[in-house]
Amino acid sequence: MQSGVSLSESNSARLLVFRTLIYIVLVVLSLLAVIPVWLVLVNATRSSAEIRAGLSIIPSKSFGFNWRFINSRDTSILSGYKNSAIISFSSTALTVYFSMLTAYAIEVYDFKFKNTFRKIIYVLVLIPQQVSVMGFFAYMNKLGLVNSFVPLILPAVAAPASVFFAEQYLQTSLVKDLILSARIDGCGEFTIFHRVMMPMAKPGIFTLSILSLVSSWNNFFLPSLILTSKSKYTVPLVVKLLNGDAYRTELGAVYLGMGLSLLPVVVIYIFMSKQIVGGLTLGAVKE
Amino acid sequence: MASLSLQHVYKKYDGGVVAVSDFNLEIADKEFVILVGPSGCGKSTTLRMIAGLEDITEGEIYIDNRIVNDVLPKDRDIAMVFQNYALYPHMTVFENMAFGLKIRKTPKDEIKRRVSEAAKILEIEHLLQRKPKALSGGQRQRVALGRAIVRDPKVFLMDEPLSNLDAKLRVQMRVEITKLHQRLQTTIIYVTHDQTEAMTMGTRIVVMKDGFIQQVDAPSELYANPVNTFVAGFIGMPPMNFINALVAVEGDDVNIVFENFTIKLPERYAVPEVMEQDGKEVIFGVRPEAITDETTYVGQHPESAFSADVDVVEMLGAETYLYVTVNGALPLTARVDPTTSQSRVGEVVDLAIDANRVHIFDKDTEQSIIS
Ligand SMILES: Nc1ncnc2c1ncn2[C@@H]1O[C@H](COP(=O)(O)OP(=O)(O)OP(=O)(O)O)[C@@H](O)[C@H]1O
Ligand SMILES: [Mg+2]
Repeated sequence: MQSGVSLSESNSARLLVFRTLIYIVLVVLSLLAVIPVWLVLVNATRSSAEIRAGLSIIPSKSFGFNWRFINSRDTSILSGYKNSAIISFSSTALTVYFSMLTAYAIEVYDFKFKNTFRKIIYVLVLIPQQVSVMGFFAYMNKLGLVNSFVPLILPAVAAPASVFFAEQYLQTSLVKDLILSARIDGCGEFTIFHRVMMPMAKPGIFTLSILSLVSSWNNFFLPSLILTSKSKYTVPLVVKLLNGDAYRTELGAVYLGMGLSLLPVVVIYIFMSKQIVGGLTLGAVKE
Repeated sequence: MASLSLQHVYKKYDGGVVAVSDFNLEIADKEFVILVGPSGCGKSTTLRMIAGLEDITEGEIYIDNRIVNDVLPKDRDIAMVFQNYALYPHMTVFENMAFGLKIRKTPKDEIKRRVSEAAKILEIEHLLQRKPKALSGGQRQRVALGRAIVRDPKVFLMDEPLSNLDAKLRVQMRVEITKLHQRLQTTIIYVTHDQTEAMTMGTRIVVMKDGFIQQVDAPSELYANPVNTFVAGFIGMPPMNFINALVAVEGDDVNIVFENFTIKLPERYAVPEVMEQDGKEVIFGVRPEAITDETTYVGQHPESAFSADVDVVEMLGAETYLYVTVNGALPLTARVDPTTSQSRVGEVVDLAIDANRVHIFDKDTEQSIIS
């Protein structure tokens, strides 16, 4: 450290202690996050017997067996990937677009009962899915939409939690003068939304996308109610199938399934988190 | 290039704030009009109503004799420069400047021609491919101006465009905007709370307070003949001295009686408006530069001379400010010539008021009686 030269001895010593402490905390936190994932990956390489015998952090040799076991099943994990991808990508696209649109309207325009709307949305955030799901299921049944992707995708247009997040984001990052400026530049309101607001809100949009994608990808409850034919099963349902064997459960294979269901989430997160760089609005205004 | 007319314009916000009251103003083609006033006096609101960004509660606004009350901002043919520049952060400088034209479906080569022309005028040609965040404050300011110029609008609206720049850059951009006005020959309405900007840039100044226009005049006129104590105190730095005093008329002579001394005003003040104040209390105003410590002047004008204790001497180079107290009670500021001034802190100096340049205001209405 070049500037360390100018620091007094006691100061640099204190800095060292401080840094060490920070690193210790960070390492502990990372371990807490990484260990469970690591255990899943390790177990994916172990046999059922080994897993029953206890924990291990060292990979074993049963990966090939587990892999073959998974692929021997009549419902392939690949079709699960495909179904999950269709559902989670389209519902994420809908959620993100319509949440931003709603939040933008609430943030930028003044209209009657605006605050009532806002409060209703906030209350909806607090109601768990399980409460309304029976009614939802009956309704979908009536519409003949059971065992269809539609009930898993379309409701994404109204995602109160995402609206809440989007609104919080816009509240802190939206520069109102940019909207005014765009109006003077000749934009209509939708053009402003699409060509000025959306590109500027990229960091928020990426974060929102990741949250929505992960929760949709991992969703087990609703798909398990709606989807009845195995060919339409999503990844979590396929993994659950591995577990449901009446005679013996191949635990290693279940863990491998879990690992495989985790994989896309991890990949997507690594890929997209690069995009969540704040400061995109830096330079828009001087403050 | 256009004329503008605001007639009895009011703005009342929900919640009862009256931001602008009975605003009347005729702006001729090619004028450079400055709206100036303290924070919250309704300058931005007025500008936004002209731009169409804010609804007009009452009254009419005309651009080129067309009523624009219900015309959308984009159809008013105006351009606006914001205090925070409001550049689109995801676009390059070129795209920022081109955006308004693109939205209006201007042909591509026409856009290119106009942007490079404006970039040349503003000397930002080398920045065209950069994003706003890679620009300095002054450069951003130029881009914001450029974005307005390429549109070739009827009216330029600018809301404190220089207030985020450092002092030196501000002076430089001030000159450039003035030049730009001469070059483009266009109508500009410019909001500021900086009276130096107001005095140096505008062809006419509108002084506002609490949503009301106080005075509309050319800078020199505003300085020489302020209509009330507010305008008198707002324009000029250091501000005008205000002293409570009594008018005492003796024959044809008008005397101003202060607590501790009396001065005699020249003949031109012996007009009926002043005479009828005889025996009444008024607010006497005198600008710092109308008080001098020059020995010869003081010697020749015993009728307006007095002595005072020097509290502070501020030497600014080209001029010196004296902060003095008359007879231990009355604080005054004087702007004197540093090449002749002998005044030192703690000393008692003889001063004289240039009685030809004094102002008298009504005590109750604070309106000017004579300047
Ligand atoms: N959206 C609004 N709702 C209610 N009151 C408002 C709104 N915008 C402005 N005001 C009020 O209107 C008055 C005038 O505001 P305006 O922004 O025009 O002042 P200004 O002269 O531009 O001041 P500054 O120099 O601080 O920019 C202020 O009292 C302000 O609080
Ligand atoms: Mg303002």
